[in-house]
Amino acid sequence: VANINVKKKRLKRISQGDIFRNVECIEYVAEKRGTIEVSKIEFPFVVVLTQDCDLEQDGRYKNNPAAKPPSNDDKKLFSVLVAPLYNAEHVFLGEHLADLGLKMASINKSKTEGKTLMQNERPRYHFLDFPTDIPVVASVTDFKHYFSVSVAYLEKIRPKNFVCRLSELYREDLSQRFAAYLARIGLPDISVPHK
Amino acid sequence: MSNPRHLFSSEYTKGSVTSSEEAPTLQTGGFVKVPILTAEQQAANIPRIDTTRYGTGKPRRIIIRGRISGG
Repeated sequence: VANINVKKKRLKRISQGDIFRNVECIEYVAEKRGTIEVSKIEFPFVVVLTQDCDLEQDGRYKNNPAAKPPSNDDKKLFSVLVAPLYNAEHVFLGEHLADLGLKMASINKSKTEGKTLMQNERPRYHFLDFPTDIPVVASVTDFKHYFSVSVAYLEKIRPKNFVCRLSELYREDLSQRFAAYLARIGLPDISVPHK
Repeated sequence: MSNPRHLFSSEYTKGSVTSSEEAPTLQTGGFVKVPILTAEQQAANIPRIDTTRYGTGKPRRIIIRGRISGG
């Protein structure tokens, strides 16, 4: 059962809540004796987390319809924050990163750990069940895996790789939960004596 | 200085791509056919992956190596 509403039409700029497919995350670029090596991870789906007001101002800064160029570059963004969407069934099996050689913890979806995830009560995850007319399976965003991509790269792939964008409220829900996850404070386990 | 756009084209090192790059049929965002689960598998409550919609792919690593040409 869908738990979100989405819009199929993209804006003229990158927007918070935009979902793109096949987005690359550069792991490293190394050069050794004239040979260059690039390692990248291609994520099937990502959702944009950057604040929409920043994206809006960056878009206006770049696509100013007026002939007058901006007086300064204050609004320019270098990168966009995104988080991957994983196939929920893969997540429950703990196999969503199997192709990277990683075994993740499995989550039993019929028990409390899975049910709370799907009710968006586990801070690390955000469950998205898309409407039937959107060709994306139920997905889980893992906030721990956020990364940034360059604005130029995302702009380049945007026309071809845009899937849909989260409607208002659902987008804010995602953004607020991500902000809360990022702002958490890790407390030391005081039951364990320090060495 | 050489044009960076040509960096990986003519000097591309074959065989340096990871095996995940060479996966034959599964293409992210594509539609794939999978065997229909047997009654035993269904009875075992194996989670069914919906392959009729996008999102069946998993993240994959791609490694590209190329020689820098020109100067």
